[in-house]
Amino acid sequence: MSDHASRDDSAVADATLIDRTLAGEPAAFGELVLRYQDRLYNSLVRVLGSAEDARDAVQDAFVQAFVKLESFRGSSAFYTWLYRIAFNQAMSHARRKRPTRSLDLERTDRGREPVDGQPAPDARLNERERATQVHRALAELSAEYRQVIVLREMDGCKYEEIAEMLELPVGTVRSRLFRARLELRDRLASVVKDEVTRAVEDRC
Amino acid sequence: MAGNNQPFDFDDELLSAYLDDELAAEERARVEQRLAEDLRAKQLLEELRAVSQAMKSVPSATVGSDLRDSILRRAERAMLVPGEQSPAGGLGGVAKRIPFGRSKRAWIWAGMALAAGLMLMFFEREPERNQGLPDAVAKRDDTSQDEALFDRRSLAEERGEAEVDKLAAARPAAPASAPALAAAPAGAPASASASASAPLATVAADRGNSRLGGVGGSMAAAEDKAAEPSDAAQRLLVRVNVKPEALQNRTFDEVLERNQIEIEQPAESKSDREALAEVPQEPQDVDVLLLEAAPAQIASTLADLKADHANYLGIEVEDEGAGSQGTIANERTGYDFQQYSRGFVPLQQKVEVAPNFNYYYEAEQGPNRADRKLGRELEFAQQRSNDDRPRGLIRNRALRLKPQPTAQSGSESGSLAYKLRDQSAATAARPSAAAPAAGRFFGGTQMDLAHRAKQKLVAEAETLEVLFVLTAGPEQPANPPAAAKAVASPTAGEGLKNDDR
Repeated sequence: MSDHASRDDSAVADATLIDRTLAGEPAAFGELVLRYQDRLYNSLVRVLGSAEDARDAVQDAFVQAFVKLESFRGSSAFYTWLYRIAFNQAMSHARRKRPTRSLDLERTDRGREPVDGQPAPDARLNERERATQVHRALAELSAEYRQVIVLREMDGCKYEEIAEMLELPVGTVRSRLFRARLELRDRLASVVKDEVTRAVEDRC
Repeated sequence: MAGNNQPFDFDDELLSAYLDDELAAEERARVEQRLAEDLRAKQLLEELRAVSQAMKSVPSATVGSDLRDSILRRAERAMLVPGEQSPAGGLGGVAKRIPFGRSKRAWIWAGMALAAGLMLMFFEREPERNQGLPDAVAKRDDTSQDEALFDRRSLAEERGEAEVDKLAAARPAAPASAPALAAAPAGAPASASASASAPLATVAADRGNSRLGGVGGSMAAAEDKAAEPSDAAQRLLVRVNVKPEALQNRTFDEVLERNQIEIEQPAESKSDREALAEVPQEPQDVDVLLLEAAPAQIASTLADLKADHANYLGIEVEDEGAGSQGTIANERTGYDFQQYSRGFVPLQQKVEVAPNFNYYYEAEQGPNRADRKLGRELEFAQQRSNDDRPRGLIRNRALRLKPQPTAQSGSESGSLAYKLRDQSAATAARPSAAAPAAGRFFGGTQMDLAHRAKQKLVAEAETLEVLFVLTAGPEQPANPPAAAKAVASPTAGEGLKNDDR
């Protein structure tokens, strides 16, 4: 995935930025914020189900990352570490708060990974409808499934990265992902059918 | 995930991993073989793929704004202020007591982060503060809040503007780093801004290793010495941009002196001096002072700063570090420190003498200064006459952490010595004596006095520890109006601030 290639490239720069931050140049951390705020937000908004919560969580995560930056060892990618902070935070937060059900669909305005072979939107579900359905289905998933599926599908993370972020064995990630997909398949029957049809058509 | 009653065998899970290309070669071969002969598996794979596609096709969400500003601000507070926690409480024990006085990085941060301004930190030793405060305390005075917000915003706008001015080269993080600094030389040599930050970082880093660590120790010691059962931190962050000349001339020292705060130059270690020497003739653009004083003195100092439009270009008092506990400083001490915030009053200076009566001038000094001199002498006389009061309860002292090149530094002891000048306990207890004539023309001090009169007087032993970081503000430009405009543009930077509350 080209997405990943670019991330690897930026890994070097991440380390540099971290060093510069530690040397007392907060602007460097600002760069990191800029680099990852949307990516983190995009995941968190799916996981938490609320734009407001996600926004808070993003900020909290960055603040904490800044404070704890000295403890970042560089054994994982910065983003992985950052996500773990956000995740732990969100978890401890969630314990105090009732789970949010309603998904906030605002600000889902920018496409990220265009699907290959853009289809004619004729009889098919339009983007918006589909997004709504996906969100609803996601919201109905259990939190542990939702975590992995979001990280995998929306953030494009590898199993190993997900395992690191969520502090789980890779095997668990794999099985959760599978189960999450099965559940989603059932909840998204129409979308899936649509997709399968499209896939078949595309092959013809 | 215990192996539970799944109706699918293990291989089906492989399909999902196959889809993600997360299988070892051998497993993949197995899956492919199975796909070739098992229609059901193929069907399932298609479905999984469809799910995956559906998920991926959801447009991604974006935050919708640049979070750097608010994040760095909060990070700054979290670093500098003991006990600072994220609203989510996420920092937990980790950051609980971190930085101030303990962490080297916090000190470096202090030096650098505040390149954009001056910061005051108030550590107030009030045992009760630790045990959470009554809700009433958390409720802010809306009016002062709004004013402060206004001022803060105007500062932020300047910062924003600064950021715009500054090129992509070293993009200044909005609040923290040195945007104002970097943008300072509106008409001045660009080299100054470009090169200033790097050596500065070096100096700060060096200091972090040597001196500031020592200061941290001293501070910790000071805290211990205070021997309060629990010294919860009270803080107020104030950033001030100082006119470069004023910074060079140590105008601020005068202000401190006027407020009965004496400054002790720290002994310079060799390495420090070398570090400083490496900074070429560049005028110093940061000045860091740590002081401890009574709230009245702090308030009075701030009032002085605020009144001196010529030298102190912008003051930003932040009292929101504690989040919901925001205005504790005000509540506890009876001072509304936030009222001392103000935006830049550039060059064409405007002073609101009375409602709807503004005074404009372009002088070096504010109109109140000459007057104040007289008042000050009286003040001093009065103060001196009070010198026979019980000593030792209110201390006030200041320590310059970052010596300026011109500093005729004291003993070469290598250790940091506070020069303590014990102040009469009455400093806090007698508001009229405590607050010099500073700002007498401006509602501020007067209101402050009235306010205080109503309040229970501060405990005699109460002192605040304060960290001042002064930085050079915009250069006094040859063509003032243009620079003034550039700095005060109200439109830029709005986006930066939009999430601050």
